[in-house]
Amino acid sequence: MIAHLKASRLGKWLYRLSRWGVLGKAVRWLSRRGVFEVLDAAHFKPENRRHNTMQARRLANFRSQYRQPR
Amino acid sequence: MTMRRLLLLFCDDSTLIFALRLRDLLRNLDQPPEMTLGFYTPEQALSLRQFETLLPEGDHVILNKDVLLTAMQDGHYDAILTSRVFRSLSNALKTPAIKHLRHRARVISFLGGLDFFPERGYANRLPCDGVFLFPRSDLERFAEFATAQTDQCSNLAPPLMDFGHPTFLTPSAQAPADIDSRKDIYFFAQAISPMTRRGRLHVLEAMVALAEANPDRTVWIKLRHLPDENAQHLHREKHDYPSLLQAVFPEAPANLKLTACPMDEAMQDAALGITCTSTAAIDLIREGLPTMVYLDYVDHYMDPLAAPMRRVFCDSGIVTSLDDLLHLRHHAPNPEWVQQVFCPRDLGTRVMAMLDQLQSRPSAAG
Repeated sequence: MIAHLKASRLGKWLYRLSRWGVLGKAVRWLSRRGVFEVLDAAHFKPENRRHNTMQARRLANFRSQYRQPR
Repeated sequence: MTMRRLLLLFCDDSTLIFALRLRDLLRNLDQPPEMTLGFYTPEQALSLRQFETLLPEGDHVILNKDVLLTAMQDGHYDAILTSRVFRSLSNALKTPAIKHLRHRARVISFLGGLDFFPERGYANRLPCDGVFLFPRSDLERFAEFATAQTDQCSNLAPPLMDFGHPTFLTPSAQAPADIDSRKDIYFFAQAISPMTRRGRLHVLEAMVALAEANPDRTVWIKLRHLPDENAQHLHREKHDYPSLLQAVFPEAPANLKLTACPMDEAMQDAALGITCTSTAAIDLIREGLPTMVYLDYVDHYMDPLAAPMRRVFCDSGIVTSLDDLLHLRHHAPNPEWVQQVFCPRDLGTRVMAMLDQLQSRPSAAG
């Protein structure tokens, strides 16, 4: 993933940005939150979007049967 | 016959677990060799807690590059056994004067684990005197690779080959005797699969769901290491489960727990093991425990190990869908697949036989 990201122009730019003072700190925080992982083009392939949606829905349906009201 | 002296190398948790398992196997032989565990500092990645947990006796020696090379050349050890061929070792073995040295320790290497991209692993192990490989089909592939390489370079000699790894011993024919009374479900986490935050959150949510659906059972997330450990490890974790659990599922049920206990301890309590990666799956199958390999997590296509993992396990019968996982429906591993991947339990004897054969050669380079 990191190698994959670093190989792209956007990734190289983000990496450079991550080393700039306060701005770099913000970039590193966003990176820890997984913000840049969702920028990958693979996420926009229809079959991948379908897969993610379906798995999330299955899990949510299952949890709705057992989740205790809080 | 004089007692053989072996040096078993390690530098991180994976290589230490390998060395300990191999030591246990060799200790059970009729004529056990004298064994020393050697910690290679240039690639060290072990915390004090990991040392205390995995190697409480602390009976290892410390090796830097020079000490390792001296240990290989000075004739004290008969063999060096390792699952990682460190660059210094590999370079030394590519040097004709060292390769040919009569009284040096023979270097026998094993694979680090299931190797999804084996070519680099093959190249690293080619200078060794002996190599243990798996699955069984890899022996033929390695032989072809070794022949092609040694034809091109006269300073290389094809190593002796055999099948096996101390982690991949033929599974117990039966599940543990108390399996029916066990309740605990374990998810065996790994540093880089799933790779993305969303993928790890999905797996975490599946464990939360299992805990909610099974209030009479404990669902353990068995961490490979603590968040501040393994910073220098080959596989560095970016999104650790304890932080994700705290941040996203602060109200997770009390029967969902985290542990960083050793694998063997977890397997003594586990009624079922769930994992996304090969190492834990292999350990579970070997111990005869019900095993689920879950690869359909969110963002699986971002994970470079997911596709090769699916390829290696496609015939295993234990790759599990999300529905089966949530309803705890598991399947027994396919015996034919098991036979391909797991080696006979006489591995210790075969390691010593390979060493005999290497030492009986007229020169170290064979």
